[in-house]
Amino acid sequence: MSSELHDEKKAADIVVSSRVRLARNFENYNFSHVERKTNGEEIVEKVYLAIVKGSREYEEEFNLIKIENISKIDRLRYVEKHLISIMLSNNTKTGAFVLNREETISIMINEEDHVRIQCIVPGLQLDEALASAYIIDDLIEKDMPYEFHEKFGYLSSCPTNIGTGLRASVMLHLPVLSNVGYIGGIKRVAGQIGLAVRGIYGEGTEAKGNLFQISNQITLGISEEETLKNLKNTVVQIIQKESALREKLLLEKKDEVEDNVFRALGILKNARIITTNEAMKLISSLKLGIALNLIREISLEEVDLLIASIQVGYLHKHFKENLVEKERDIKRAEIIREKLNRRRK
Amino acid sequence: MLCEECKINIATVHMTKIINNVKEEIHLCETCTREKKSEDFEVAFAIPKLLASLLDMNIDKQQNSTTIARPKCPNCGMTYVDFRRTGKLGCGRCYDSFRNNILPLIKRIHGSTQHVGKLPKRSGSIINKKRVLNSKRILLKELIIEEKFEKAALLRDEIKKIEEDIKENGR
Repeated sequence: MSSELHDEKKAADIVVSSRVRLARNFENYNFSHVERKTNGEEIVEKVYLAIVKGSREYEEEFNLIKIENISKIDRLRYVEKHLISIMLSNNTKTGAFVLNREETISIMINEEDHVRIQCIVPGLQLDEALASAYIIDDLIEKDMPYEFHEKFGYLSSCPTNIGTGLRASVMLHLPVLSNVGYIGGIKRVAGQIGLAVRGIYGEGTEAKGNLFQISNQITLGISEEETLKNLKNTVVQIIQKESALREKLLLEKKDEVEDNVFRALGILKNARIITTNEAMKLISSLKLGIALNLIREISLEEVDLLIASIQVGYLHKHFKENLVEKERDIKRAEIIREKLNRRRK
Repeated sequence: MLCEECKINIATVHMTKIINNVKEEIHLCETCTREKKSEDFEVAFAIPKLLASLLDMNIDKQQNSTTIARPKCPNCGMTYVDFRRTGKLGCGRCYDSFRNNILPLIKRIHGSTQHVGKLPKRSGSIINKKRVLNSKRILLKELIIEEKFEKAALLRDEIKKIEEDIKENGR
């Protein structure tokens, strides 16, 4: 295996997904928190039209979904898939989003900003994600001029977002760094160069299953290209550190690692009641086991899909009923058993 | 019942979280609870409030409270006091209405007060020209210092042309 290919495999084992989002507000409208009562609906219609008009292809590709028209369970599902924010899901009056079929591009409307163009792709593909977001950005701008300031760039109600309005992030699975207690150190160092490290659901929640999101904090005085470069460089360093530690671990404590991985697999395949927290922890061990080639019967993609299908919103949707917590834990265990045991038959 | 985090100690703290109508119960021992608390503490720092407190720091240093004028944005009617309370501006014009007040804050957040990067296509062309103009002016100064007057004269004419162009097509 050439060294480049080897590096790519390392990255694929550790990076789950890359995401960019552009915050934009329109000229001649007040910001969302002031505007909500008056022109929200107008903005929804205009943005959707700006994206799809004149293109048959886009009309089929993009769907307009209004928060008021979907159930609470569906809202939660979209939040769990990182396609919308909790804030948007709570705006039942004028909140809406435009989503492509593949569910890689989501344009949130009437969130904290008038629009937030978001693109999520698997693996480390920040440039590709930004390129997709730019296409939508230019389409919307053609019809609706953005609020832009010569000095402060794209304006937003919150001064932390002005400038490029770009928030780029990479989701990483860091079981070993986390286990040896290095995450605190990474957080501090990242903070010094304007990056933040958080749990998977972004602002406001803790890390579940050793999944971390690293993102830029500064948006003014730094170009988009520079922002992505900084982030990428840091992510690559974290990947190298995590994989070096994984190799070391396998060398020095093979029995313990194997024990941990196969115990996790054993519990996941047999448990009858399981909470999200416990499942996420065990799945983290499972992912590590697959990356270390200890487990070959399951792929990382399958495990990432499994993560999505054990979240609360998915369970409610899948079983088409409102489950209380205990029932959820039973159904969750059922889904996991089904998915992990299926291939043996 | 054993602690969900460490699975070693007996769970003595039982928490119920309700987010978006989804109830989640967490059972922890005391040690793990302490760790959780420090995590939640970080979360509790809401950004707008933090911003507002940064602003207050500014004001204490630069002006005393009686001299804070109460600027109001002529476009959206938001006052500077509103911004200090919520950490949010009301419209794009607010950035000029409260420019002097928020400039130090922006500098503190981003370490810079000048946008670089993507420009909207529509108003972008004029801004692009201004950027080019700035860099040419710097070059002109350098040429003069280096006594390369012939080149400098050519560049000066170029600069004049761009300035006129901006005047004609500018905002």
